Amino acid sequence: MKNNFLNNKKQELINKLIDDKCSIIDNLLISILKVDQTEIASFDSYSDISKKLKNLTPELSSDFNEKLYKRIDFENKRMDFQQSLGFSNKLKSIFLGTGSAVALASILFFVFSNQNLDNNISPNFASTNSINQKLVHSASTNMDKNLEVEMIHSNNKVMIIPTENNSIIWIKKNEFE
Amino acid sequence: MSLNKKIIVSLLILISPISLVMSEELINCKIKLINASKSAVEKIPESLKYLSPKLLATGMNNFTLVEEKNIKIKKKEPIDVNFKSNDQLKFNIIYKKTEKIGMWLEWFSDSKLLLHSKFHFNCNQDLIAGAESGKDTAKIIAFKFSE
Repeated sequence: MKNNFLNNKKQELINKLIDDKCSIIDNLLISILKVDQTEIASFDSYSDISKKLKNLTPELSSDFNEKLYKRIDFENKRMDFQQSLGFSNKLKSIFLGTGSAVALASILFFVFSNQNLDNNISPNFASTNSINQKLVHSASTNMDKNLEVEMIHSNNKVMIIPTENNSIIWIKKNEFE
Repeated sequence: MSLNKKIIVSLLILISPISLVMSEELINCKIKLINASKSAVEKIPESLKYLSPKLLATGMNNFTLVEEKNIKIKKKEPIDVNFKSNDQLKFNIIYKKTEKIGMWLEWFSDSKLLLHSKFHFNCNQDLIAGAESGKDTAKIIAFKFSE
């Protein structure tokens, strides 16, 4: 249910009311709301709605109106409470997010500042312009803990032959040569 | 303390950091280029006997030492080693710890790239890389590092 005269908050209020599991009274209220949304668009709160409804439904009994007021007041308070809760949750999220980011940045800084920077130094080798480079890659291919292959580029198929110590890197002959 | 002693102590203090820097890890590197093949008769020359288990693990059983290079290298200084067989190694020791060495290696054969790799290995043991050159032939390089 969308009406051009309703701003988001009002639309939310009405939708909330309609979507709730309502009693017969609520259903009646809903039907009224659905009939005249343009009128409702001028409301600012549940209380306003209820007052307007009272005018719209003069034939309703006092009992009905009492229940309606209670219901509307309850919804009003509930939504205010939810909104305040949402705000505090947002604040909490911001604090948690900021805290986590700072913690993560600290850990990363610690890790990288303690890393052996030598590992990042690449020799001035000619770049490998191989068409069919194969990355055999690291840890999973390591057959023993004494040889850790961080990367392999080759035009050919490369095997790791396991031995007790420093496994052997074995380059297969390219069948197409 | 006499003047002579003072001079000696001063010199020692002055020299010790310099000597520390100077002595900073010249690493001895022994590289062997080996031809390997499959043949009816197993043959491993005496100079390669200590490598037997690894050499035989390649599936070859006939080995010949083609060339051996003994070089001294510094960490983080890329070095080229050329063999008469048109094999060329370019490598760079990126670190050396008590038992571990990290190294970049490029191996070219007849100017073709065979291998470009970065690895970390136990420096107490030879590091072996081999490349098949034919159906039953291969060439092998064996690295051994020591201080």
